[in-house]
Amino acid sequence: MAQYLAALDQGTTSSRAIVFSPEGRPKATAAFEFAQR
Amino acid sequence: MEHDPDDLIASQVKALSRAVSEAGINARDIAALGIANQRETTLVWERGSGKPVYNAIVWQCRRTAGYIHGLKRAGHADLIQAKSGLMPDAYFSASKIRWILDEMDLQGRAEAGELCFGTVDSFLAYNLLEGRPHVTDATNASRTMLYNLGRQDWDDDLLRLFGVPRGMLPQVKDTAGLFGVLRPDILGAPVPVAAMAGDQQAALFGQACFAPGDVKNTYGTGCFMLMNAGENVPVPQGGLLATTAWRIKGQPAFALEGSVFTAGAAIQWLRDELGIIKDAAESQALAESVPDTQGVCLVPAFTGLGAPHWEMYARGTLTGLTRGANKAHLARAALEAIAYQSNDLLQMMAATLGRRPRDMKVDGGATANDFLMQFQADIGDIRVLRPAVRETTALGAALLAGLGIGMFRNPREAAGRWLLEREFIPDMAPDKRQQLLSGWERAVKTALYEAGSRREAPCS
Repeated sequence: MAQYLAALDQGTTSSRAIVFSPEGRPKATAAFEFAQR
Repeated sequence: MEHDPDDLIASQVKALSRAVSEAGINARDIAALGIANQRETTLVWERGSGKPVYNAIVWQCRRTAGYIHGLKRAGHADLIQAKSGLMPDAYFSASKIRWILDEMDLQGRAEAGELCFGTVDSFLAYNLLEGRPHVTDATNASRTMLYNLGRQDWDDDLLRLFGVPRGMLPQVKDTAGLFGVLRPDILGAPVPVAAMAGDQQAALFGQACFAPGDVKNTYGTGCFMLMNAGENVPVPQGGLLATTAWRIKGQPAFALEGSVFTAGAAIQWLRDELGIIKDAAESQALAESVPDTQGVCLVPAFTGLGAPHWEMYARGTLTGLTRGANKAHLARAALEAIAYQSNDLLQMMAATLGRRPRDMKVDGGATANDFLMQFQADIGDIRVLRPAVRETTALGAALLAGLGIGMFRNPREAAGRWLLEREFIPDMAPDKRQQLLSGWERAVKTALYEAGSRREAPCS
């Protein structure tokens, strides 16, 4: 059943993604940095 | 400063896949996805192939400062500010688009409708959503310097000024609402993408700042402060900006925005250049080892001063040194300076809106510093509220997405997800506060005085 909310947070030094529980608590977070030139 | 566009897409897809797999859920369990993004960063790509014609030019990049200076000298500042709510600066997208079209000799192709412009949200949507929509949201559009805040549409006068054809601009949609669905090959299911917002605006929403006068401050390298200004475009003063806070069901809300250039960077300076602390956390214990700064004041104007002073020629200034001043006083002065600068912004916003906020929500790395948070409360005579979920940008994007698919009927329903971790209550006698604020004002005046002579005879 679809109940989670997810977000991308595309920042200046990293790309993040967070899955939130229906209560708005972070359930899982992942981040990958990338180069700036 | 540039990003490789492929890196943006690849890292974002990897992060999403990893987060979903670590959550141990199926993509079909995700009701909606929201996108928050670094703002102003500029991309141009071919409409047919989707291939970028140049790297992403990052918001911090100053390469168009000379061009902007020319616009100001030609007297266009008032037009730009009245329409876009922004001060003419290289920071915003418009001059970066101009640079790409000139540098790559692409004006003709842009006029012919062969090219698309987008901020990062728009580029992600184009690459991650089914059917490649060319879209953005009202908050991101507000950071381009091409968008008319009051009319909530691209502005023909600004487009003409920057020579940007309307045909290369994305469709501007509500911040919360259906933008499309993720390409099923990304997560294995067509997850609805139901919000897009600039990161600072997403954080304002994630901090549940829904009423006029509600304010949040993010403590990073610098500080970003946004105050909800209600449903009418505010008239900013003293170097503040006006921007769209979000647009929901066609109804825009606006915000005042201001920034402190040097905040966490002052703590890094204590660590990296002075070597008086080993890590940022140590600054708290060192500052608390003395009862006050013994009159020492640090104005950390390493890269100039932002609102309300706007003095690019200002530099760091240390005042009130006595023979007894030591590293603890200096560390304390550096932390206090973050609070003083934030307070100057807060007071200017409050005066602009004619409202005195009851409290201020905070997020960002330096909010872990309890001394700083308490001093912020004391010096502003304002309750400082630190939330349980510090990832307010992502939370805001997620809650906006929930709103976008109707999981919540209105922002207030989403606000139940905002939880307090700790409240800092002002606890300083008014005369003491006044004495400290006077000391800070004197130190700022010293920095501004010195900037005046630097402007006439630049030495660095």
